[in-house]
Amino acid sequence: MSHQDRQLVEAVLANAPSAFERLVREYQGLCWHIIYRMVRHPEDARELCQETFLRVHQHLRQYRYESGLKSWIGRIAYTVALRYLERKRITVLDPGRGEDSLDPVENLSDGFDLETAYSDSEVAACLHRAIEALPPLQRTVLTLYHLDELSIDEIANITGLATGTIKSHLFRTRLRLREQLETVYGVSP
Amino acid sequence: MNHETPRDDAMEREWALQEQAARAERLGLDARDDATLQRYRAVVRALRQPLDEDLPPDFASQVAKEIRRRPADTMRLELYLSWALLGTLAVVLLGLIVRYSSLLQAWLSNPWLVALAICFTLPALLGKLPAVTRRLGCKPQHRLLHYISNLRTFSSAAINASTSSRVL
Repeated sequence: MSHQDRQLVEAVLANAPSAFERLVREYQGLCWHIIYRMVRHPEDARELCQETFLRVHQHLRQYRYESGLKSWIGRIAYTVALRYLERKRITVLDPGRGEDSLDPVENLSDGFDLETAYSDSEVAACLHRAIEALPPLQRTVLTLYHLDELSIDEIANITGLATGTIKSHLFRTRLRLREQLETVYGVSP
Repeated sequence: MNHETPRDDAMEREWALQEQAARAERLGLDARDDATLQRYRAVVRALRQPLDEDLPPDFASQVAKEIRRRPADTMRLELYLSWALLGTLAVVLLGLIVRYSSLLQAWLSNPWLVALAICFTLPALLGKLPAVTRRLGCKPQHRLLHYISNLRTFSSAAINASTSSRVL
């Protein structure tokens, strides 16, 4: 919990002018990444983002400075998105993919220079499609780790999962993306 | 799905490679020869790309506006509910008075019971007086506080007297 965050929270609780707007501006990016990655529907994601900040405002008095403000707000955003997915009966985790996709660690070829064979944009487009096709939880964990540069502990605080589980998701999903990339571009073992 | 950390050697190497790629992309390091690392760097690069959709630029001010609008609505609703509750209580009280008027009359005709009720309610009401005056913005005078304190002592003594007289 940084000193700035504490000051910001106290300013919001004291109803200081534009304090809450500052808080929203500070954390809207994180909320958007969590919710949009989970929900994937832009309009619904925007509404859920607004709902998240309304909840933040409503419950800010209950915030005890035990975790970082970022994690606390992220946790609310994650819960809001999770409830939305539950209402829509969308599974957060893909139960069909797991152990089987681990074996290729040893099988993948190292002897093929993919980037010289295909342009960056082709590779990027292929990867974006693969990322979009990931289950909501894996997609969100990867985004928080790589785009928001959150630590594994912070992601664990937000999602309520164990750090080992977060590491496992990161490991398997990155491996799967690499595997898919090589499959698409015909890199054979 | 197994949720454990990658632990055997191959997995450890793969994890280290993934983390190396993440670090290299984060720091913008030059590309190196390792083909597997390059593929992981391509994966990390794609993951670090901004999302295709974003929040509107005025999102923060819109939410702040919504927050400013909401308390008034909530307060109004609370006010209506309070009035509705008070109205219901008043009706119930009135009903009870009508229903048990004969019993109340009997109680009120007993001076000891009336005195006892006054002795219980008066200290409680007087105790609240300083808080009320503070809320209204006027400083309670020292003499008034002294008077209240005397009254509370007197009423407590009256309770004791009435209880002992009833026992006797």
